[in-house]
Amino acid sequence: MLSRLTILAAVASSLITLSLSATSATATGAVDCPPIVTICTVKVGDPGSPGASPQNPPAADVGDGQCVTFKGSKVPCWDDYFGWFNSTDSCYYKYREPQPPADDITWEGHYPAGAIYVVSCAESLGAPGTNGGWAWLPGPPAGYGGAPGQLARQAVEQMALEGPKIRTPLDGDKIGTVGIPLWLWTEQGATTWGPSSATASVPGLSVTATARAKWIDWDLGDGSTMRCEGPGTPYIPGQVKSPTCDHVYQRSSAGQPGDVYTVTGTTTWEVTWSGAGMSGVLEVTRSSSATVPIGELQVLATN
Amino acid sequence: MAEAEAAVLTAYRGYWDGVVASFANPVQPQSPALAEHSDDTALTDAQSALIQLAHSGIHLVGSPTLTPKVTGLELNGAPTATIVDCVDASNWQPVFTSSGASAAAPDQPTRLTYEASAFHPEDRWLIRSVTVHRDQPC
Repeated sequence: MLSRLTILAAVASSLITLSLSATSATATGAVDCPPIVTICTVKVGDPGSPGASPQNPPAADVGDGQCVTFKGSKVPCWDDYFGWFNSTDSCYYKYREPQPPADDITWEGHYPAGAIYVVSCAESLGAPGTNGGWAWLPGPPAGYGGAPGQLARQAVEQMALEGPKIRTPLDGDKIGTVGIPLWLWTEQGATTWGPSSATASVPGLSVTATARAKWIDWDLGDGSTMRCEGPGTPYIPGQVKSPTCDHVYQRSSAGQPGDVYTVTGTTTWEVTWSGAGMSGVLEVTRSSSATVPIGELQVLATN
Repeated sequence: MAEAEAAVLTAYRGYWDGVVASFANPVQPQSPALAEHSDDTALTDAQSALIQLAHSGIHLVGSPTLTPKVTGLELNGAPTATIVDCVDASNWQPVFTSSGASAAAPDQPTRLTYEASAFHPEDRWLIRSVTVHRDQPC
């Protein structure tokens, strides 16, 4: 009798185990009800990366223009219809064109400050205030326009900035002299010294950048380097020292490749940019080179 | 009034054309009809669904049968309208793209009440919101 009870108990407990596992199987077979779709679907597993959240967002751009959602799916950072992906809330943002009328409730009384965006969320985690639809924002959200300053860099490309257009008093076939200051300067044009401006845009965002050259780092070819603030001063005949930028060679360039020193000037450009409520500063450098022949001054000593 | 009602229903059916065309192939760019006929959450809910469907490897075959009625129309000031529909999805089914097998969860109702709103922000009526009342079979 006792043994029979034990068997029954064992059977009962295995039944409980079975029914428990059946319950959890149903739980993992949860349904997905995508918006608008009438018939809910079986739930498909997530690709992984469950650790991402608004506090711990995935990388903004994993390369090839791909971004990552909280659940680990790769999505394009830009979509013609959806706009720009914001990895801090897994939603796409697109500037609404035209902007809704001033009396639309979405403005929340802010009109005309900020802008209204059309927000499409990739996943229904939804950070606060971003469950899709129109949303008023004081400025473009994270990720908008690509990585920060990406549009500004595009504007910089359009300017085709150059290194210095190097000038010295040695134009033609003149030869410089050891021990005598060699004046160095750049011709000043929009692409060699600035200011130069350009605008780059994507739908809903345009960035205007202005570049101004700040200084030139000179590599004189004899092992010495120096920085000259400003463009340098064009040679003034009869004046020995440049008021702004010169270099005194200690040895002749004989024996150097081509018997000349190669002088390289690297201009540092400061680019200020702004657009749609964002602004920033970035630095770019551009180099160019020239050659200078330097000879010994032959002094004839007489008694 | 009747003219405006017809225009609202044209926008509503145009929106659904966009939904059906887009959900039939979620990995492709969405149908232009979506943005042509909708905005705000009606548009972005459809777009969110597109992303979800694409990631789940699910698309929808067939098309639903619509029976929309305009239940409210306000033409003074900023025009707005409301629409109630009983959407019959017997012939609008989710399937796994890879296998063609049904992706429908078991025991799902195929006819549900939908409620939509429309507005007229610029030159035409646009569907602004679409709510599926999953607790209201019809």
